[in-house]
Amino acid sequence: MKKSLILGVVMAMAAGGLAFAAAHGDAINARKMAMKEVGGAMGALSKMAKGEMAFDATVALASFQKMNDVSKVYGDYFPAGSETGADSEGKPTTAAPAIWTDMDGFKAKIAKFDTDTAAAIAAAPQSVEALGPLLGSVGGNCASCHETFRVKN
Amino acid sequence: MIRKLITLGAVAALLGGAAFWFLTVPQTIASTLPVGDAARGQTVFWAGGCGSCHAADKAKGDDKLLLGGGHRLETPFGTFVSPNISPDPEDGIGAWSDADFLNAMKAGVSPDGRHYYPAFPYASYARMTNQDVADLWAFLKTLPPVDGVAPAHELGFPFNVHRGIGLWKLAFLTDEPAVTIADASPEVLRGQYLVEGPGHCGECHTPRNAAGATDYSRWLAGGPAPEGTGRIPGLHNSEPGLAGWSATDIAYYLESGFTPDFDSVGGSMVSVQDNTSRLLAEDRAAIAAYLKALPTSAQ
Repeated sequence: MKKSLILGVVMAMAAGGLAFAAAHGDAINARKMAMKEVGGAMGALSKMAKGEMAFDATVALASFQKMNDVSKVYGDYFPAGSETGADSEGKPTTAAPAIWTDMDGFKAKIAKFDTDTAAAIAAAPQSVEALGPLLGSVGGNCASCHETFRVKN
Repeated sequence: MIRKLITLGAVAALLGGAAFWFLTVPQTIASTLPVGDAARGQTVFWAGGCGSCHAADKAKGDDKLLLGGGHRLETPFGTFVSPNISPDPEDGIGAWSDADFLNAMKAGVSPDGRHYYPAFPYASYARMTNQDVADLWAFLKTLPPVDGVAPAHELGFPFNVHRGIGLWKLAFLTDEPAVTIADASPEVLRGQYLVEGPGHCGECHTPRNAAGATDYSRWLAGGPAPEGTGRIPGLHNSEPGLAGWSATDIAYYLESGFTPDFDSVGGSMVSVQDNTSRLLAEDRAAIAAYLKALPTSAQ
């Protein structure tokens, strides 16, 4: 009886541990997926700006919208304990330790991304000329955040 | 017998000390600078990326022209702190002569005749033309003076022995090209000059040997970051490297900070890419042409 109780506790702890690990793996997956979506949106916008793709106001708006959607949830993908680890493909996280030592600074970068993408949505560019400056202000967020909060090992 | 040995040992030590003394005397360059052109020097300034180490950390826009120093380079040898190179005559380098500037840039010797640590990348700048050095010097003098002297380097023994750098220079300081490229076009040669000289790309993108010198047998092969954390990617025309990148992709990255799959520049490269975005388009294209032309022997 006592033995099975101990076994039960041990199993519950193991399951909890697995769930804990999975949750952190999920966070790493989620943030990588979100950045891929932002990259895809950035690609569409850049190709239009460079003239490699015909300008399409609907695609432009949807791309800024996609980025803005990410900015609303991105800050939730960095729970304590997800500082290290890998995604489901085994690729290690590239999140920099600075995220957790300066969470306010990190959140401020995300807030800026939110503001700039919202402004681009409000502007709803109807021409490649109107897109250019908006893309510049939105795109600047990528390097600005990655300068401090991403590290590749 | 023992006395003889002691005498012999003392003589050997004296000779060794004398040899060390003579071998490590800071050697200066006995030449003068041509007349500099500040407008051309602005291009040299962005190619050299002076502001990435000598301006405030993560400085943007015009703040990158305020060269008060203070940037900390955390390395396995200790922490180097970049000095004030603004034209302030007291705290910066405003009182320097042309020869002082030339010797700092290409010989790694200070106006008071001491070796600079190669954290200041004169091992790359040694490949610069005197005209580019003169133009840069003319441009630097147009920048705003900044008050304040940066703190000293934080180095332990033996790296705090300045004279030791003389040996390092004997072994590693050269103005020869890092690689030989057969039948290089003028564009490739221009890119080679920018990358190996003022751009000093190899200082981070080439792995270092135990003495902290770039390992020319693995030129631009990437490796652990020489300061801070993370890895620096290799730039060879192979995988992992730039094999999947066209020359246009490389030039676009240097201009915009975006990779072919629209990931963005990060870490210390952000400041470097900000510099390259201010170069002429043909210089970015030349850098790309050189990287695509790197010989496979270096890969």
